[in-house]
Amino acid sequence: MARWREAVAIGVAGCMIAPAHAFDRDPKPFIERLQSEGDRNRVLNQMELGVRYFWADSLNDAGAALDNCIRDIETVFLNDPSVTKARSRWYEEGAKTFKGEPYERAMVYYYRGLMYLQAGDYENARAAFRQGSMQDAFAEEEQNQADFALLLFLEAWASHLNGDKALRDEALDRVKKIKADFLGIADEDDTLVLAETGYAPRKLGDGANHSYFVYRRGKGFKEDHASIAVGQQVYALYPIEDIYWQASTRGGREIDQVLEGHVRFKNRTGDVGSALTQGATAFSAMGGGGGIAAGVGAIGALASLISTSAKARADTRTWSSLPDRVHVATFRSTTLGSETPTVSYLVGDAPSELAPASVTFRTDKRGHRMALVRSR
Amino acid sequence: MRVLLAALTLGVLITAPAPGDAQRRKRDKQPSLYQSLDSPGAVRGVAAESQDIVSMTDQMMRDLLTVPTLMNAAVAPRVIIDASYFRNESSQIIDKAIITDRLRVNLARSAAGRVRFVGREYVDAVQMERDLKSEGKVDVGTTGRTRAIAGADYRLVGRIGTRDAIDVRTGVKERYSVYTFELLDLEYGDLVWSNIYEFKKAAQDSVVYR
Repeated sequence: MARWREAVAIGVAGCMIAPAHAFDRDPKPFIERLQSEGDRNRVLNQMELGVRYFWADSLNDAGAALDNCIRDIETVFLNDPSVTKARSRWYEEGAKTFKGEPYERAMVYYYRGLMYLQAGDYENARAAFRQGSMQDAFAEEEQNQADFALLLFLEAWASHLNGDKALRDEALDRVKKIKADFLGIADEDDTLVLAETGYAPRKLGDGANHSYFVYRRGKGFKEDHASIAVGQQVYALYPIEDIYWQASTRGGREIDQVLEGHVRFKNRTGDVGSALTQGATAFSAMGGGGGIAAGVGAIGALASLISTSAKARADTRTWSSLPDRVHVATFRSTTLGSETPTVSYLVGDAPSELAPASVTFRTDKRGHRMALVRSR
Repeated sequence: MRVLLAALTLGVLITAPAPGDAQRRKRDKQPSLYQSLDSPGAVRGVAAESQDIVSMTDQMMRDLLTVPTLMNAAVAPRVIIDASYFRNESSQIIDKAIITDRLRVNLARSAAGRVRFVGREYVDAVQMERDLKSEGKVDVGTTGRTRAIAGADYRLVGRIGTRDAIDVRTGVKERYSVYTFELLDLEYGDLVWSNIYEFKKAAQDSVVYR
């Protein structure tokens, strides 16, 4: 019976962690969830915590949370009990230990890499961004594999700051293959401005029994561009990445085929159960043998129970604190001068309802500057 | 009777414990354990693990002990072994100091005074103490003053490189890792010793993560 209760609990918990549509910066709920939801949602809760700590400037906590995510993402789960459950007919896919979809895993490395950049450890930043790109290589649609321009750009930026021009140019060539209009990085640039806009992509269950999910863009925001102003001078930030696009162009997952098999099983047993129950009822009404009709009816009921018990629901757990888009620009610090710049969030070319926000630069131990801002 | 038997069998099949339950209970009770440094860890992936670091630093140390210019010099040469010029150009996040520290410590112990190690990464601490002595704020200690801090003859340099590949169809990840170690003559600029440590690892995640 414990197994049934657990299956139900997973279903309930799965519903409870539906993606939020507003970025609540408070880490406390996720600290509690980390305790109460255990291994199954550890990576998800660490992702949520990592981003909250990151934007709260609690970099030690953010680093620890993201490192835990990376450890679990890089761990190969083959004989893990949760994996066995996720493949089983009697548990939803959400029974598995969460590692996230490729775009979510890639974004773990994105935040970790940004932290290494802030610390002036450009080599590990570059390694993190490369690892993020590798996660994207799992995309099934070949034309969309390893096309995470944001991570390639940041890899180039890390190499640039480290003085590795050949590696920088190699990465920039790959960015330009994806974003032909991206201007690149000037040799003298020493300042990065990076702005995140909007809310995370959503995963919505679809199909019979919600056996697969579809992506929808996050809700509750309009801004899709950003610019930075210094005095009267305004510079557009380049929209280097659309996270929703990254999520939604991934293609089908192998687990979807397993879930499809579960749906077929569920349907077949349901049909058999229904047919047997109806047959038994009809047989009994026609004055057939009471014992036989009861027996057939019992098997029918059991088949229906099995059908009801079989789970084919896809895993829609989502890292809710990701942005919708990321925008970047690099500058020579003298270009920006000593005035405090402001970032404006735009809908296309028009101003959004969000007020411009002043930008604070952080200078790393090697003298390079970086400003990270988030629209909401 | 057959109907009842079939019903019972189906009931048992549904309520039987999941195959992983016993394994999970066993794992939950597992206390933390010390493991051998040169054994593969429980956490598997394609990244360098402790046994790789132990193996590569041991191998480099043994090889360095055979370098005549280093070991047979009339005056013990001074060497810097730290992570500053050991470059990570790979896709692996790594604390390079783990490698260089282990190499330096083991080499220092095995070389038994035939080589002297300059702690250049602590130069600020040395300079601060020298300044205090020069200003008379502290005495000169017991070993006396030197004209300058130690210059070095050689420095460990090197590079970490990786090549990653993924088979999207099977989910197999593969990483070829190369760790290059070299000893740079800090006066003349030639490389007096080179060695390489390389390995390739593959791992395949479960279908539920693909």
